[in-house]
Amino acid sequence: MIQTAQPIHIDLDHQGAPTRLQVSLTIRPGDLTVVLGPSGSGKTSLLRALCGLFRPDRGFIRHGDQDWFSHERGTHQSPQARGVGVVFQNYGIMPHLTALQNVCLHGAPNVIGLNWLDRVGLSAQAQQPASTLSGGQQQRVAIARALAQSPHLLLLDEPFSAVDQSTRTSLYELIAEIRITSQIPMLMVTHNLEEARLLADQLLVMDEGVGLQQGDPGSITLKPRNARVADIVGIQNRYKGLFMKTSLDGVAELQWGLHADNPRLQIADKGRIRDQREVDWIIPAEAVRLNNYPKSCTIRGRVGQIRQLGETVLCLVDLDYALRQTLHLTLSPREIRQLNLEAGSMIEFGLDCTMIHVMPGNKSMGTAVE
Amino acid sequence: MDWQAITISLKLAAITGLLLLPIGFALAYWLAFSESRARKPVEILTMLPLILPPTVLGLYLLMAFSNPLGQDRQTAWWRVIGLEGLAFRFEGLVVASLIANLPFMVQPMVRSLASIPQSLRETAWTCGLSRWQTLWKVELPLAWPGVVTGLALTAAHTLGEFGVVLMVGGNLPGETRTLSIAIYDRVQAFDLAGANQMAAVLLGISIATLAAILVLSRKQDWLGQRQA
Repeated sequence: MIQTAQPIHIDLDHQGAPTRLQVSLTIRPGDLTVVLGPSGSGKTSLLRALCGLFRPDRGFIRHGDQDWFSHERGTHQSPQARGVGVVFQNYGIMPHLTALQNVCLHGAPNVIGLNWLDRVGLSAQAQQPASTLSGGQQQRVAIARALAQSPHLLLLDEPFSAVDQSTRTSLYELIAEIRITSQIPMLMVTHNLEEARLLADQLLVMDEGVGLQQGDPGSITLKPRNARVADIVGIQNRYKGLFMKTSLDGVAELQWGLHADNPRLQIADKGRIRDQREVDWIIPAEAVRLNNYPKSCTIRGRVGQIRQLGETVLCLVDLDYALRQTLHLTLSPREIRQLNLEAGSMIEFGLDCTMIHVMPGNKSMGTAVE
Repeated sequence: MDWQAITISLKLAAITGLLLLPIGFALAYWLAFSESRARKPVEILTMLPLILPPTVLGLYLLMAFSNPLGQDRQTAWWRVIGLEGLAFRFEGLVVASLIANLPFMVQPMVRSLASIPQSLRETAWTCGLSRWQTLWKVELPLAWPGVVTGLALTAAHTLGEFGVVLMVGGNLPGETRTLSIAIYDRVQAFDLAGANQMAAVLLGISIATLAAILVLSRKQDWLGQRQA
């Protein structure tokens, strides 16, 4: 394991093929940055640029004070010289080698390879031809191989997609342990929102090659920069509205929907959105109170559908407060029983309007926050 | 049984195989991975001996070995590269055989190399393996069925080559009379029994070659590719 981990500073701007890429990011030692975005959003191009397989037009990638790539200085280190551990989506397992030979591909001693195979739970398969391993086992061999080379940066492209739940949990623990013991900066690409929230110190939301927002997952899900970010991070309660300033300083009104006769909510005005502006806005799950909501405004609706989703229940409420609007409530089975909810029953709950997050409408996406 | 002809045929097959193996692999590697615009034209040129009638190829080679530019215009470099005077000599057969067998050696290798997923090569590079190390540790083992097939096809085709050999080498016992020429020679002399014996040798060699291809390429066929 490397002794002194260095941060990775990234600032890239690429406009041509294979995809546009505009990302500015720092991955600190011991931090796990998760890149979230739809297919074709440039996640893999970012990964390839970091490990030296793709040379962007402009910008830099810096490991500590060492340039891996610098357009200005004409530097582009080869993948071999960067010392980046990569777990590719299709594992990159050499079918003609054993599991151990795969882990030691870069020349690590067998004892180190065996130690890493042991840590991913595959010591019994060390001498087995890699082509005979299952998909999940091959993925774990790929993780062991990336870690066995003591990388300066660990890149994980959907690393847990082919493993079962119990293996996934043990690999989460392994990643958590490595973050503490080795301080390797890590970047992981995933489509799994829960995985991102569970593991990420820093979340980077990408779309069409552009880094839309970065920060800790909690703040992004509470305050997405725009409607696109809200969609990518899976916020379901997103609505259109009209932002209206009031005569009171710091207080604004938010019209729920675009019809003039729609109801209005009183929200905070932080002075960043102009009067009479069409906006997107979200209700965070934490803003909905089913009990004890004296300071909130009260919302009523009729339960449209109740869907059991594993250990939680998704309750779709058709609001009579704002026409043709649906609110998604995630409740526990116990809450469903306590409230005696079923399809068609009426429900009343409190909405903490101070938690409502307002974003500029589509025409100015990404230009202003709240 | 014309043992001299068998010896010449085997010697020609062995020399052609050994010389063409590195040349063919280097060419196949370039054809499989190069992004050069010249790739397609070069591939077509490589395939040409497959399409060209052997007599035509033989005729052009014979002209090249003799006096391609005319006595007065013949330049020194033609002598320097050693092509002059190769007609009706064993060395001439080797050169002809190298050219005629290029597609048999190169094509299976190109298919094998091209079927190696790019992700495996990139994985090797990110693991710190140089291009040479990647060649030895990843590409060559994975392309092995193609290498074996190319070698076996070249050897078998050299043993059976008739048209080019006859045009370039003629029928000189101990120098250019190969097994195929000897069989033709025996038939011309109405010695069908002698021709039959030698034909049986070629048949045996062909079957053994096919068996070797099947066994060796299946044994190490990591990528599940099937060679011709």
